[in-house]
Amino acid sequence: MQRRQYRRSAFFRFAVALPLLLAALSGVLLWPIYREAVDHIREQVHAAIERDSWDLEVEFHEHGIDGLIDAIEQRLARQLDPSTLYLLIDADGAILAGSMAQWPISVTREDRAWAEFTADDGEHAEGQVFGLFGQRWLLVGRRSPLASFDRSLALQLGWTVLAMFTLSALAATWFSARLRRRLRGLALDAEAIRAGDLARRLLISPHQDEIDDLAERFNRTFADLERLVDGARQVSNHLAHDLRRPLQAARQHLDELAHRSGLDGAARLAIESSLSEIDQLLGTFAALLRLAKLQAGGFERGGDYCELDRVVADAIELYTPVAAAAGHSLRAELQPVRIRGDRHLWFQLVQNLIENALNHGHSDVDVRLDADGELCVRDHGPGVPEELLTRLGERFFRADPARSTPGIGIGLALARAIAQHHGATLRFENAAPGLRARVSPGK
Amino acid sequence: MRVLIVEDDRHTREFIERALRESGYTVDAVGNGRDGLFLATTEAFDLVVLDRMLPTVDGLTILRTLRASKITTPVLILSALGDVDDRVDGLRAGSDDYLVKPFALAELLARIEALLRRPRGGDGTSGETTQLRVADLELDRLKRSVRRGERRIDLQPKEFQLLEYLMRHHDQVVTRSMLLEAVWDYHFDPKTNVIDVHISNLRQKIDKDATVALIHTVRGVGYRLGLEVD
Repeated sequence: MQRRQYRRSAFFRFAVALPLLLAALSGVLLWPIYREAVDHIREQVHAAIERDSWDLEVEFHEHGIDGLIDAIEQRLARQLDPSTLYLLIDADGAILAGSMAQWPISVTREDRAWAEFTADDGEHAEGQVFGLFGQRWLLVGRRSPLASFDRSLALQLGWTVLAMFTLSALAATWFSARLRRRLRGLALDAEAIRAGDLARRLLISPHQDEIDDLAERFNRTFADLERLVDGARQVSNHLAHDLRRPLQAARQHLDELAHRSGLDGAARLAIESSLSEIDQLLGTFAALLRLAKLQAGGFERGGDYCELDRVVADAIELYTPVAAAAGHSLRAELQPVRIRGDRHLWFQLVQNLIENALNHGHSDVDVRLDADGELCVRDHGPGVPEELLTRLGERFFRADPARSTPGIGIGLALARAIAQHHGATLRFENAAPGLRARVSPGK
Repeated sequence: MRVLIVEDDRHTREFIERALRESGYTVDAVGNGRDGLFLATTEAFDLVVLDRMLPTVDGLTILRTLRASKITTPVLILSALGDVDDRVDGLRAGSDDYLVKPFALAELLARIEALLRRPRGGDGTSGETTQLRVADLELDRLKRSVRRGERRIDLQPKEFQLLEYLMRHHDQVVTRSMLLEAVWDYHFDPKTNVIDVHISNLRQKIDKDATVALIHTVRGVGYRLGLEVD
């Protein structure tokens, strides 16, 4: 499938949008939790530092700077809490006590200020600065789990989002592929119905889901449609059938009249022309009924084979003098082809195509039969407007708006019905100049 | 000549009956299959005109019964069914000709005449004669040659077949559809005057330069090959 088509597909958009949405959603939902966790940890660290510094401050007030140094050293020596960090410096920056090698550069000397810094061993730490009398500075710090927590949480969050994205992408792809497959099946069915297989219905799956429900509704519509089309066909078939009787009776009366002796020439002529008009009408009805029978599948599709090239050659032999009489030639290029079907029906098809080419093309006609069974009948006349090409072969359709040419639009309809009866397709195309009828055999 | 008509539609039956009487035939007409079968098996007719769809006993059944009883009277089937299969069924059941309704009286009469004039015992085409001759027109089936007097005439294969059929039925009216069926062996109805064009080509070759024309057009019906003028 082409990229553009993919982008236009609702399923593709769904398959992309769903995981993105889920990922964004999980981000939005997890962010506050993360923030809260971070704040909570920081508060804990700060509380511990404040407790520590409070004790040290009491020591400083009670025993002065020496007491403070003692207290710090005692705490460090006892190793009560390995995460604590202390540093006491004098005005020159020399270390008086503490567990750090030097005053961290990032920590400003400002009384009661909170600072973040990196411990000597590279761990993240937080601390509070105290300015003491005599330009001495005390830093009470604590290694903080925040950085490692931050890292692992971010990692976990990332994995979660990624997993969610992947899983939902997989699910959406699977789901949309399934849906797309079902819809494609339905589309194929619908296309077949459009192409004339009116009895076909959309396939209902055993799931009985919404799509099946929709398909069932469509099927009911198709059934109605089929009934309507059938009805329209039936009407014209009944017309053709029922009108035959009175016409036949009228024909008999006229026929008898014509056979009676003692008619003058003018009366006989009038009767004869009426007879030939009735015959034309009866011929049309017969063709209509034949068409109806073909479309209803009334002809058996026998397993007989016939030599299509022979049939075409016979038709050409029949029509060559007719074409010659009109001043045109009928050229043929035929490969031997054996084809399944009824030779009489094939003959009728070829004959209708040749007659159409001669009557409407008023020009030379080329007939070609390829070895693969494709049959082309092409004239060199004016052709047919492009937009009308697909309508050729419809019952009663005539491309000539003035209806000045003979016929009533049955011949090509019959030809198409015969082609379809044999699983072949009849199409028309402009050959510039002229019209080409192409009969392609079924697979 | 005595003809039996078995046809259930009264109008059609009377129509055929009147026409045949006027043409000089003796006619018996019945309206159902049982009476038809009874008459056809008990009395001698020269020809039976048999409707295919009949009450009581169906037309094809009558035909098969006749043939099974070794009664070889020519049978012409009339039928409203016009499709290839139907026609083949009818001919296979032993009918000699098959005419689809509605038909022209002239068509029916021409076909009846052709059936009656046919040499009995054969099927008309297996004629042993290899040479056909009408006036100064000669046709040799083996050599595939045609002469008119001293003049040799070259014919296309289909023209040859047309001429052969016309000569076999010389001095009879032959309709266009009889010619189509005999020469082309396809069941179809051409919309244009295809046969007329072929006959006119044939006529060009046969009657050109001749003092007497042999191929005559019978207006509204078909053609006749022979000497006398209509």
